Amino acid sequence: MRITITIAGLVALLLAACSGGDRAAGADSKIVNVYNWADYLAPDTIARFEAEYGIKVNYDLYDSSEVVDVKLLAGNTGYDVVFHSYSYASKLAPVGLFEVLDRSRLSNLGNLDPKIMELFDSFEAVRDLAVPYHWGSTGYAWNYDMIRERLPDHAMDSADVLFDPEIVAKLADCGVSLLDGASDVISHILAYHGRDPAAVDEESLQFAEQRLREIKPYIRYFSNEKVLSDMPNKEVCVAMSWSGDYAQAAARAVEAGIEIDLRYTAPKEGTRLWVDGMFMPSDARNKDNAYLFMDFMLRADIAADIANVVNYANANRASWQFIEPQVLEDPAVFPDPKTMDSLFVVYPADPIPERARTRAYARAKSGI
Amino acid sequence: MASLIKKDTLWRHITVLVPYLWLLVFFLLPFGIILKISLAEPVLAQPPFSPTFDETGALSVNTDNFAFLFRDKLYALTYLKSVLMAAAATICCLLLGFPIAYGIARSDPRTRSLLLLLIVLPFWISFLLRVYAWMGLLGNYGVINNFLMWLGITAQPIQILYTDFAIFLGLAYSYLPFMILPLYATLERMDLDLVDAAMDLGASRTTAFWDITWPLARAGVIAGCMLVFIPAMGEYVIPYLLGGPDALLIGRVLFDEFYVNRDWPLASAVAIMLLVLLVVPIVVLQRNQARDEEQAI
Repeated sequence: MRITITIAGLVALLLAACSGGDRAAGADSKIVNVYNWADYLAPDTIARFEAEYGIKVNYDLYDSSEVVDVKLLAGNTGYDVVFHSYSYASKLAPVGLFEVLDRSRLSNLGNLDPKIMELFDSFEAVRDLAVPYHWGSTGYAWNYDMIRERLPDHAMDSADVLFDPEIVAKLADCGVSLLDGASDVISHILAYHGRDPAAVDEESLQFAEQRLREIKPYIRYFSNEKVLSDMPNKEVCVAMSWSGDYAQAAARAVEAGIEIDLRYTAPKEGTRLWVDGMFMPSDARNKDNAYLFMDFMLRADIAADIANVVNYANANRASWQFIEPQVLEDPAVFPDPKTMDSLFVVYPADPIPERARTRAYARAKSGI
Repeated sequence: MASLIKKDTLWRHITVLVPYLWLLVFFLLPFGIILKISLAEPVLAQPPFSPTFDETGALSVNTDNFAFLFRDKLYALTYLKSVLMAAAATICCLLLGFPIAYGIARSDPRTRSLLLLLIVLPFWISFLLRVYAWMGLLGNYGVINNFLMWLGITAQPIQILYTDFAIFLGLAYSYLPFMILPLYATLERMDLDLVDAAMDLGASRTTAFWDITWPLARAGVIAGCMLVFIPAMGEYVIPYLLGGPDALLIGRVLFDEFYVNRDWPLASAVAIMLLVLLVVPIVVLQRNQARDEEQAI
């Protein structure tokens, strides 16, 4: 046991060294330690919270869900509020890493839309552990001009531009990229072929692996982040991505002075629901302040400010009246009723089938 | 008098102890921890692997992780690909680095420090930033392709970024200084009179190079090759940023096992195998070299 503790300590130390140091502060101090995705807040959100509550926010950023996972598993992160994806957190929930939230301390929970909350409840493992933040569909961003050059009359409402070998072959020269994750890629291949996207049985995985092998020669790369820079740079013309990413890519193009017409499609065959939430690690030291911070984030005006900047949908019904119409009415940001109907949830599988899914994906990806 | 000698040997012991202590703390201890994790089972817990001693205090060792590395050919193929890629980069660095180091070592002592500074200068910019800069150079609408299209050599951009060639380029570029510096150090110390003597005795320039300079530079060549080959073998950032979808090098596999699959024991087993694959040939090489030198004397 002692060795385990030492190892955990050493790993934590190593991770701390890599990330530039964890926070060590006693309880009841006037601070709250927050860990969030980069570019995932309005510029003035932190300052407003600090001014209103007199609590200092130590705001730390990450750029990959995996890093958050490993930090949480190593323990003693020092964070009080961690933004994390529901599907990742569902895997960590049984370990007891997250505090069960006391609903009575979140006065703004009533702002949330009951229908959307019902949808989120399909992530059973995290139902009592998380406050929802942003959410959306999984589809593909595409460059209008580059696509119309190659497929002048294509409907662009289906996942065929990602998964039909004949069509992907026509786009290979302008670049097609897929998300880099076994569950995202395999579930969408299965959905495109009219199968159960969450299936992890051997036959389904073999089927998906085979289909992935057929399109792989035409895929430029697999990545979760490159879409933001590679869409504006025209390195790719179709990029499987999460809703909202295309809006950020478009914003970056404007910043760089590039004229580009980007669109987003949530495929009609099915699109995976993603949800990000706020979690409280069970070893958080400033729990009172963490509740205050979460409740602040649930406030209608605050939630609207953030949605206007980051271009993602929120579940905060009360905030919608403050959200700019071009954001609220963009079906690529706030899923329209048609997209809502085609949303599916892929819940993390047990470790053994999960490993089988990852293997099938890795084999097809590496061409072995 | 006797106490003075004692003190002297004590100091000698302490100075010898320092490198051993260093190795113990920064190599043997982490290695032991990784070995321990590699023999555990992945479990959903904090930390995510089973303890070495179970509740009854019995030792629980699981060698499945290593067996798995041999069963699944994914690992053998990625190890092989990593070796080939690192070897190609090392050879390229040697071919480029040797003439550069030779040139610097033979240049005017006053310009020498300036030339060395130019070699080291890129280190002042973050490694990550330099790799990103390559993405900007190699991209379909990057500097190189735009230039080629402007010249009219090609109408369509040539795919360079996200290929194995881009990884090779990135590796060779990033590790070139690690080849040049040890080569320079040995070449600079070399006694030039030996070359003059060889030429006085009728050796041509080429013969003098292969019979005198090359053998004397061998220590630097070996040091440089190791400094390039070993980190290039486990490189993660370059293949990730510059490589295509099948750029599955061992660093990437390690990352996937550790972060994506959360299988720390298997990831540790991959790391241990990498170490074994790297350390064993190097130890054999050094043994042979030591024996050769003994025989030469």
